[in-house]
This record gives sequence, structure tokens and C-alpha cells, in this order.
Amino acid sequence: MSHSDNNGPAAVICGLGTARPDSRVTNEDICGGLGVSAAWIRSRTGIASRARAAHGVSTADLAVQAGARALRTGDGGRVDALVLATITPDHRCPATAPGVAARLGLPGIPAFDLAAACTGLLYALQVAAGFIAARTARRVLIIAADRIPSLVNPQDRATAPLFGEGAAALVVRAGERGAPGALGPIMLAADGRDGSAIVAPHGGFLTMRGPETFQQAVTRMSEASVSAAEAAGWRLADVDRFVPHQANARITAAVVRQLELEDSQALQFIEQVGNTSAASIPLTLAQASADGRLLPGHRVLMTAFGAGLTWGAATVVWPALSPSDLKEAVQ
Amino acid sequence: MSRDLEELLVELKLDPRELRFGAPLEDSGVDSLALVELSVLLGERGVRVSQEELAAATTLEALDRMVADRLSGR
Repeated sequence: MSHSDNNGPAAVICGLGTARPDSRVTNEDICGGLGVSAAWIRSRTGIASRARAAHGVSTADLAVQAGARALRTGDGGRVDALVLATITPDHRCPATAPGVAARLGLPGIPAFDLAAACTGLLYALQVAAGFIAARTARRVLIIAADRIPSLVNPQDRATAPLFGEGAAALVVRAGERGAPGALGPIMLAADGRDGSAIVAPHGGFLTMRGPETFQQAVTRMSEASVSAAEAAGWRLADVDRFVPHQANARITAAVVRQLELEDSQALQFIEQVGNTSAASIPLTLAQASADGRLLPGHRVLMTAFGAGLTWGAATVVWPALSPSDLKEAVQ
Repeated sequence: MSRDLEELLVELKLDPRELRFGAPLEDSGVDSLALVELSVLLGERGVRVSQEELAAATTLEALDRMVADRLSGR
């Protein structure tokens, strides 16, 4: 596992926006086709319904919506780069990010896709932090957008119940270390030796070895969380809000148990939207900010795990975002 | 049932009053994911149990025997 430690400017979160499709696919909608009950799905995932974009809505459409909202809630400064975390780009070529940047009125800035699956947001944060620390950019728009249901066999009970669609975006700017919104050291790791645990081949459906994925997710997110908290100089007991990737409510519960956190420290936002892949952490941050579970000054520990295998963790002291900003962010 | 297994199941928030010793695991609320969760808890105690071993325990009685054997031999 690696993390950067340098003396350049810190990356400070200053904007947040989301794109949450209105449509929901409920357990009742899918349980018949899977040969299980709605309660079976709920008990194994914690999910009651999944967010689903309307027919014809692309990853770029979701990314543009979230990105535009984040830019409106940011500090209004010029964005110098765009990183789009996605494993469901609209085309094999070109990447989705340049088109998103153009639609956001940002032609000309560096814009690229970053594929780290459900850990994509944390990888994108590290790339943005690197740009800022190296003074390559003063302000970076990070968008996490995924439409994993487009990869899923609707009759596969190991994957079909899990995934929703959505996007979320953060604006990060150059600032001082330790300031509200400043990211602490970001821990990232990958191990391709176990990559076949979660695979979507070209032209094929996503497959997942469930028990192995569950075990790895719990172990890796727990390890990364401990490392990120230590790197930030925090004890786990100091964490006000723990925000794991929303893979499955029972994975979250197992990580909370392993880290000996209180249930009240962990934020959950999976019941109504499902596992939204790279977007799940910022969607959870936005929802919790809007409903009061996440407040300015809270010490936040984020962690994720996904295909690759990839995993990571990061810390941030949550910044003050105005109530109107938050309302805008979660519309 | 051994105290070890009961403690593990309580840690998984299963109600001891609902546990059915000789019946299929699902009757006690121990679903396939709970077996994975159990393997994670056993791992924390220094005991590695494969998914195949866990899947072979189809009743609480068999699971109890397997867990007791593995914990005593760790």
C-alpha cells in the first residue's frame, strides 16, 4: 500500500454535486426472475431498491449533471483538470471525460477516465491531490460515475440485486494542510493476482465470486482504514464518521465490527440506491451532509474496495458547505 | 452448543433463542453470507477456515463441531 507525503499544497474539498436517477428498481421487481424472495435479497444486501437511469441516459449524462452541480457549489474558481472515475465509459474509444469537460464548458483542460472500479473515487482523489501538490493544477473536478447494471446479467443472483446507477462529483482546490476539507494521506493498493474474483469480459456479463469478494473487501478495507487513520495521526476512536464504499450493508457491518467502531460512526446509504460503484462514497457524503448526519468539522474516514482488486482509504475533516449548496448537491 | 460458537453467532447479531441445533442452518438465520462472516471472525482469532469447510457444515451441530475442532487446534 502506498501513499504520498509531500510538502506541496494540500487538496481541499470545496464543491460537491450528485446525479441520482429518480427511477427505482425494487426487490419485488427483480426477485421473481432470480428465484428468490424480496426478503432474501434484503437480508443479504441491505438493499431495498436500486437507482436506475432512464433509458438512453449515458455515463456522460450522469457525469455532466453531477459535475455541473459540483461546480455551482464550489468556490467559483477555474477548474484546471477533470478526472472521471468510471468502469462504464460510453465508448471503448475515446474516453468519456473529454466530452464531459466540453459539455461542462471546460474544453481544453486535461480530462481523462480512471478505471479503478469501486475504489475509483479514492484513486481520483489521489491523482487530483498529486496534480495540486505538483502545482500542475490549482483546482480539479473529480467525477465518479458508473452504470454497473449495464454489465450485469439480470438473472445472476450474485450480482443483479446489488447495483444501482449514479454519479457524484467533488471539486478540490489547492489549500493548506489541516484546513477544513483538506485531504489527509490517501492509502491506495491493488493486487491483480486475485483479479478474477470480479470480472466483466468484453461483451460478457460481470461475474463475481461472492464469498471471496466479501472476505477480501472486509480485510482490505479494514487494513486500509487503519493505515489511513494512522497516517493522519488519528485513532479510530477519533473518527466521527466512517464512510465505507457502499458495497453491501453486511460488508459494512463486518468492517465496522473488525475495526471495533460503533455503529453510529458508520454512514450507510445503500438501502434506496444500491451499490453505485465509484459514486457510492460521494453520494453517501452528499446525502449525509444534507440530512444532518455529517457536519462541518467531523473527522471522516473513507475506504473502498473493488475489482482489480483495488482498495484504499483516506481521511478528511469535513468542510462547511452552505445549506443551499447541499440542497443543490443532492437534488 | 459450545460457548465459542454462541459468542461468534451473537457477535453476528443472531439471537441465541432462535438457534435450532439440529436443523438446517438457515432455520437459525445462518445464511450463506453469515458463514462468510463467521470465517472472517475466525480469521481474527487466528483460525483459517475455507469456504468448502464451512459449506460442508449444514447444521448448527456440524458447524459447532467444526468450529470447536478448529479453535482447539489453532
